[in-house]
Amino acid sequence: MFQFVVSAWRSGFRGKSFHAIFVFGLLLVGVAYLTGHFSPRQPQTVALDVGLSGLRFSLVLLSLFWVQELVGREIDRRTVIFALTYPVPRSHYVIGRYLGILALSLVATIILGLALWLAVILAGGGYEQQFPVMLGLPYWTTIAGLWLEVAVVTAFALWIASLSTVAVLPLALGAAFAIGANSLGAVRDYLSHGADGDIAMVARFDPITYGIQWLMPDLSRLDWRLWPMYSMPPRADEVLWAVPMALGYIALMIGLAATAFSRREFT
Amino acid sequence: MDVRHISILLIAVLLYGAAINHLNNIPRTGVVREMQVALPRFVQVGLAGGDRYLAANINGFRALVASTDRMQADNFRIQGRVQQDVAWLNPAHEDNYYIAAAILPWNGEVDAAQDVLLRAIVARPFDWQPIFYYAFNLYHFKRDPIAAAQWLMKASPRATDQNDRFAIENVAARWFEKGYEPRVAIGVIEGMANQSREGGFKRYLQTRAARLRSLETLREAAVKYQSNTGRPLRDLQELVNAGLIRTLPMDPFGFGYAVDHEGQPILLNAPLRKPQ
Repeated sequence: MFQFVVSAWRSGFRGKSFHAIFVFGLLLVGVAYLTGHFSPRQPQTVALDVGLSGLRFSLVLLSLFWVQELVGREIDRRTVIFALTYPVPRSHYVIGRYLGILALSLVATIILGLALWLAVILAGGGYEQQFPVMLGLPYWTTIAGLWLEVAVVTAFALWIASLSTVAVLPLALGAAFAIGANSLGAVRDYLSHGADGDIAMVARFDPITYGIQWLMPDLSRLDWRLWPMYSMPPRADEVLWAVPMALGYIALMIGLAATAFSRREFT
Repeated sequence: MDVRHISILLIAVLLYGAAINHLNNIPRTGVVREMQVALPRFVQVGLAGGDRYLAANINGFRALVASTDRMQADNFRIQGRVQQDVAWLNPAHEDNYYIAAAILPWNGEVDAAQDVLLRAIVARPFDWQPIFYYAFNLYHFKRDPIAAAQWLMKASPRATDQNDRFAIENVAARWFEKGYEPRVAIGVIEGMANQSREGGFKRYLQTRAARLRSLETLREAAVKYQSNTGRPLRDLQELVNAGLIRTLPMDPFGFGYAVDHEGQPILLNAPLRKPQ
């Protein structure tokens, strides 16, 4: 399995799309720094807030491109057949690729996280906020949550790649999944507070969104940015259940991907 | 390329050109204007890639960039909705409640401002300022000093600085005791300007404070005018003629001042029925 991790790691850094998206991520950090200038009261908080959104966006995109390039395209070009000539179970290929992409995205997360950390420190130009941001443990915990979120999206995209005959499908469905799973929290929140008095809407959509969360995890539970931004840590029980939710979903997706991949016929 | 291909291309170009030409003369089907500007919250979250904080920031920038422009009552209603959306997406957003307090109630959107502030009060348990502005709006716009002072007392335990706590309790006591005084507003706007970072928003607040100070001068002169002559003021020029002020103050926004039917000087751009 280890050779699949290593080969993913090597070719992951070589891809052109990796370089393009990584530069895009750094640009978004730059944008975050500039948005701080708009804020009359909390420039560092705004820079951090916008920066975390930018980081999420580029890290999800990076992982989806890696899934497409390291798995989707290998299946498409049939080069995957060479990999499967090793005397190991096929599931090792799926798990190895997943761990490889996770390692790649961990490196990208740390580098972009450091860049944002620096940008936030520099934002504001000496204005002392009444409520300063917390760039120690709260910041890095939030970054860890972000990485876990990326890991869930990657696992889903990998499952799609194991079934799909079109290389671009994991990218498209993965992006839709990331948007949907992130919106779910806001939508549930809106409905649970009465949808601005629209009773018919609550009656119609509440059961649907309740059902959806059994198929698609509420990824906004992994967004802990209020802690570094406003010194409001997430509830302990929320974290305690959000992490197992993510890990459980990842295990399920990788399991499904490994099964689908083992049964698939490559001709 | 044969004749058939060329003629198909030609027909396509003609069709496209004719369609563009016609569409330019057809008005767009009516969408409620407010809906074009303030999208449903669901859509906003979706457009921001499912990220409610990003959606909050995008709206927050819109509110901030728009606020210093000269807007009509309609625009302020939309701004009120945009800021209420931000308050729903991220109720702890500090700039949002601050801008809402500084702009909305002064332009007729008191209820929208109070909604934003109430959400901030709940979402920011460590911050006394949203309570302060909520109380001030009750005091100044709803003319309810007692309820305002009661709210203000809730702000006091949140202040970490002992001096802040004394100051808040002092103001509350004054409101209980003396009832409504118009000059309190000048102090609040000046305070908000002092606390803001250098930039357009701070200058905007300073200009507004200067305007309110000029209005205060005019009002004091109008009171003297009435006690001297026994009749209410009809025109601001009468104050200059009576020697109560040397010249009419310049309005930094260019809207000017006027006199209402009770002889009270007022600001001209305010869509409020009650004078500020």
